[in-house]
Amino acid sequence: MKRKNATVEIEAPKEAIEEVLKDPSSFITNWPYVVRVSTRDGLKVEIMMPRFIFKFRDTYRFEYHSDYNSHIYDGTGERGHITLVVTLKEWQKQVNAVLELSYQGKGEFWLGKTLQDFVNRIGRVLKDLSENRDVLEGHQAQVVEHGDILEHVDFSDPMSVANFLAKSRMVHSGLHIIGEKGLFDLIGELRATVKDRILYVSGITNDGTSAFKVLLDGSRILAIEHRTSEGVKVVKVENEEDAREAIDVASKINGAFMVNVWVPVGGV
Amino acid sequence: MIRNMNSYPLYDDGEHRVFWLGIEEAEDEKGILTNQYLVVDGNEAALIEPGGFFVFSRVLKNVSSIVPPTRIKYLMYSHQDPDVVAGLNLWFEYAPLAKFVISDLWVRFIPHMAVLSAGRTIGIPDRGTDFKLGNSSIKAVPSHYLHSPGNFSFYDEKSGILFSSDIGAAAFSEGEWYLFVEDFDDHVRHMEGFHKRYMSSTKALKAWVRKVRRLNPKVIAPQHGAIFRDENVGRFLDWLESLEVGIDVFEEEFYGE
Repeated sequence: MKRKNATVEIEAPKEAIEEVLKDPSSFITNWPYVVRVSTRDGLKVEIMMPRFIFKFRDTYRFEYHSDYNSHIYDGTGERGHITLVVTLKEWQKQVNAVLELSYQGKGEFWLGKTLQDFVNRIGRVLKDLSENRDVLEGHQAQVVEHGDILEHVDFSDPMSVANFLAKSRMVHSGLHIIGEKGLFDLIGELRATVKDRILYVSGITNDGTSAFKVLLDGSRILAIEHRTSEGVKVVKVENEEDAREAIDVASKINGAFMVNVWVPVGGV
Repeated sequence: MIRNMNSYPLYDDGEHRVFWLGIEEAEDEKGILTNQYLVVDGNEAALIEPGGFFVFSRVLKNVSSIVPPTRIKYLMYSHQDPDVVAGLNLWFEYAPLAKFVISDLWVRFIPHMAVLSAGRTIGIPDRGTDFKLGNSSIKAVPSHYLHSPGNFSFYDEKSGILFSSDIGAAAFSEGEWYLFVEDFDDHVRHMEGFHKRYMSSTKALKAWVRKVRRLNPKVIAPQHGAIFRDENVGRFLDWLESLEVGIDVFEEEFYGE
């Protein structure tokens, strides 16, 4: 039997991680390299890792067990047996998930690296699913229910921007040169033709090395992102200090940008 | 409800890579789940069938884990259905250097997606054309009337993968999903109803099959359902060739003549 371990730090409440782990059908469907799922007559999953010299491929019938702190996924395949045990360790506000994957069957002596890659990826999946659980479960409802999408636009959350864009229309697109501290000059120019109070303005240089996004209510910045080859700066304005930081970010935007301007339409 | 948030590599020779980008089922899709694909050659990428609003988050996350979205050169749309184009305004912002590729027939409809797209749209002529991606080429293959009157499949020459739009679409039964077709005879039951009703013309279908046989693809990857490879590519083409679809099947039922 071959055993491989991985540990992941998860920035989510233990209860959220437990919710993911207690739904074996959804959790296992999201394991890497899953190419077939059937939930009729129990949970059957085919896993096929395509890129390795020894092709790891089998269809497993999974059973799930849990005790007070561990979750066990026991898969019986045609060529082997695979077991994943996930144990959660909570210390102060941090939760670590310890994953132990064991495999017994065809090719087990050749699969050390492959199994390590597999358990590492399962760890990442658990982290992603747990940390994004609210988004995954809620985004359908979010589209319908949030009346004030504008307040929720945060450039570090693509779906908040998507919600805004889904109810917006583009009113301008063109090449603009932005000089030193010149973003507000550009916005002044745009406001001469675009009368809407709320503006979403984005720009990108021709080579893609610099880009910005800014959401404005009148002259007030609500959110801003500036991306350069040195990194990305994102500010969601919620207080005066954020407002000062947003203006500081805006003042550093300069160059030749392809600029798009969007305004909200109905329902935003 | 099936949801697989991971991408899956379909081809990788080190320089040229192709990925399937995960799947998630909306309640109203009735088992007809949408596939999105990413082709990467060197520093350039093409997103095939980018999809609608509710898949955007997953597709963006998976694309971003492979290449920065600013490297996307083409957003390639086979036709104008909402499950293909509804996220167009989102991709306009998140792939800001990409060109939109769609049949010439649909270019004039793009402003209805609330974007000013004149400088970023490439209309594909009816006979098709080639798109250069890095050191590779993606061929737009005419697929008109299958089902849209302005419809293209996209053939990635380097990997031999044909992205076949709705041709090959399948509706899975509840609680069932698979990425690759293994049992072709069983898979037919998931495809037959869709093809008979959605595909317009038997003649168009036969013309497409003739064209595709000349390309000799190794893999056929539809926008819905499962992927055909190995001997199932040939079996799929044979099946299509024997099929009667659209008005040829339903004329009497719909028009009573």
